[in-house]
Amino acid sequence: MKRIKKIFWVFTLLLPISVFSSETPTLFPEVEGWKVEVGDQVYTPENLWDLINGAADAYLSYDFKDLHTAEYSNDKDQTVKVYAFRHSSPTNTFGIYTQERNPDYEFLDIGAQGFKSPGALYFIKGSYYIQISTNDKPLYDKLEPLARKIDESLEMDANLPEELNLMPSEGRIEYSEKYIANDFLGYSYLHSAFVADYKQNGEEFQVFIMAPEEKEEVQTMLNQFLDTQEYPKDQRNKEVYRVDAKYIGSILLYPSGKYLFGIKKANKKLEEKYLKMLKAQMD
Amino acid sequence: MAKNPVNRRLFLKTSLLGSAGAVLGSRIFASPVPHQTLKKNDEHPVITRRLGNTDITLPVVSFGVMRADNPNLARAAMDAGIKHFDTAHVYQGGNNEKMLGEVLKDYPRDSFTIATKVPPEEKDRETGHFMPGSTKEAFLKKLDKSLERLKMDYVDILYVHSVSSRQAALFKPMHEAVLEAKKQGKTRYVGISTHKREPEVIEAAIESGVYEVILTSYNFLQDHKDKMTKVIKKAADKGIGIVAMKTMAGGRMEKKTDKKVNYKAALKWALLNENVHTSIPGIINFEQLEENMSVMEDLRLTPEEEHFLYAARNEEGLYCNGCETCISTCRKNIPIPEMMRAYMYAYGYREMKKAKETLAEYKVTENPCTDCSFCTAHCKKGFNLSKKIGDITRLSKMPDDFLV
Repeated sequence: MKRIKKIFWVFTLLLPISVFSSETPTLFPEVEGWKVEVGDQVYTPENLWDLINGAADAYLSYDFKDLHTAEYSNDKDQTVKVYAFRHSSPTNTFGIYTQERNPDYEFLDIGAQGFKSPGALYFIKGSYYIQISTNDKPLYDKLEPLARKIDESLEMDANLPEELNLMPSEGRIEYSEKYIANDFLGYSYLHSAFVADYKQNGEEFQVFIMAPEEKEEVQTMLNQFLDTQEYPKDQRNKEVYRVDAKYIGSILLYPSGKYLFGIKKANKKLEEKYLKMLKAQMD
Repeated sequence: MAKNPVNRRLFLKTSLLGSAGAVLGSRIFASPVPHQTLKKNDEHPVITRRLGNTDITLPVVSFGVMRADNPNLARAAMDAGIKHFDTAHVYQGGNNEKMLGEVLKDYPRDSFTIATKVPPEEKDRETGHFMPGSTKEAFLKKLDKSLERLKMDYVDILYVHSVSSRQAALFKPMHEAVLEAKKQGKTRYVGISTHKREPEVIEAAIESGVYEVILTSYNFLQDHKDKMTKVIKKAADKGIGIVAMKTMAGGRMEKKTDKKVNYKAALKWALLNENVHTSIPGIINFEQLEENMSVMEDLRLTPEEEHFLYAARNEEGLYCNGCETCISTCRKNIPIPEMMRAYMYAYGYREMKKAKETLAEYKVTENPCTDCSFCTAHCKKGFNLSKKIGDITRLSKMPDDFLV
């Protein structure tokens, strides 16, 4: 018991000291009483497969850049592994994180957002997706203090993508927001989208926002999608489009400025209600 | 080669254009013969093969489910006639299995087959050996979690995920685990997946006498593809089902270049080996699904595809695989893989400017080998490294105006 208490204090009283050069963010702060060993191997898009096998494909689709690893061990030879995945942007980092996240997890106010399960803790901050895990049960409750130290030492923006603020909050299922980096709805021309699940009066539906880099792309994507769905060309001067797409279901599309909003699988009443909310956001 | 007269043209015409697709509800087990005729006018029926000695017969193209965000694609694939779905315990933290379970619950259980891969608890990344912490109990617990996510009582194939050494393929606790899973009715067949040291692993899997299906990397760019072809035949002759993955070799002809692999040519190359019973290309959009459908019904190479494979064979001698084993053997720590990349740009693709830029990027302006009386650097592929470096560094003296 004494031993466990000692480990606890070691974790909570530690001082972050950089183990990297000054140009690199401090990913793995040193912790008194613990030995930190930074892995020699840096994983890149070319060899991520070696570490996580087929799971690498999803990371690559979110423009994975590199992965640094470290192992923290105590005098009992108990170890905690830390993986720091870096993607090309905070949005892509949020995207891969949301692929692995589930609303049922226990969420934490750490970094931009994080969650934990027995023996593992995950969080994002800036372009980093930090994964911490251990197989040693006595260390399960030590993961969070360690994660907080890593969070402190990562001096970067801790916000979620601002596009999420455009999504109506009413009825939104907490922690259901996702960012899909490409091939949204299964169409390569639809690029990326932010999506969230909603529930209202027992009805489940989705709201999505596509935010292409160029405003002109909104119309191009919309037209391509309408072409695919054989939407009559002489009826394309509308503010809002309703489409019943095969395999996808009903979709309401609302182009506005640099955004293409969508409401998927909602009944007419809900479509109207949420369209009003989306319009209000844009006013 | 068994052929199944299921009409894919119907799918191609309808699925992307909005009208009803061809829903297949046919039973696919115990059926090495054609099992259902959907529509008339089949110019090119779907090519199916029996998975070794199992009772599963599948179209040559199956679905490697890579992402959890598009259940529509999985539904479309089912409707198009894809029968086999491949997922894994670890993909997207389990969300991949959940998505698939949600989609497939709407279809009769005997109208599709599903494979999942469960990893052992502890593995040495260097050697690929499974460690003592990889227990039968831990493995079975993970399988139960996978079944719960999939909303299924059983999977059709249960793979031990990512086996990369002989020791791992012969690791008794995993044998006991998969056999126990089979005994409990949680899987119909057991197998391994491998994408590293595959020939050694496949030999050991045959020797084990336990595994009935092998999921392996197999592509036209593998250095050891001849060895692979032989060992795949050996396994298939023993009645082991062979499923090919990574047929696209990562999608690029060479690391860090944009020269893309011809998707259909690469897939057909693997499937033209009849000992490969099916393949699991990752499908992330409807366009790719459509391309797969066409491969599923016609493996003949078009002239363009033939040309691509022919060119790839000729260029093969130029490819550095970036294994980096040469670096530690060079006394001067020259960035050899990058020099070989520059060499390939110049001599393979005739991209002189890119080759020169690569040299500049690594600050190589002179032949770094001139003051070495002999070369200690060793290449696993047998490249004459000092000669190639000498040849390519001459380019750094060439004025840009002369380079296209």
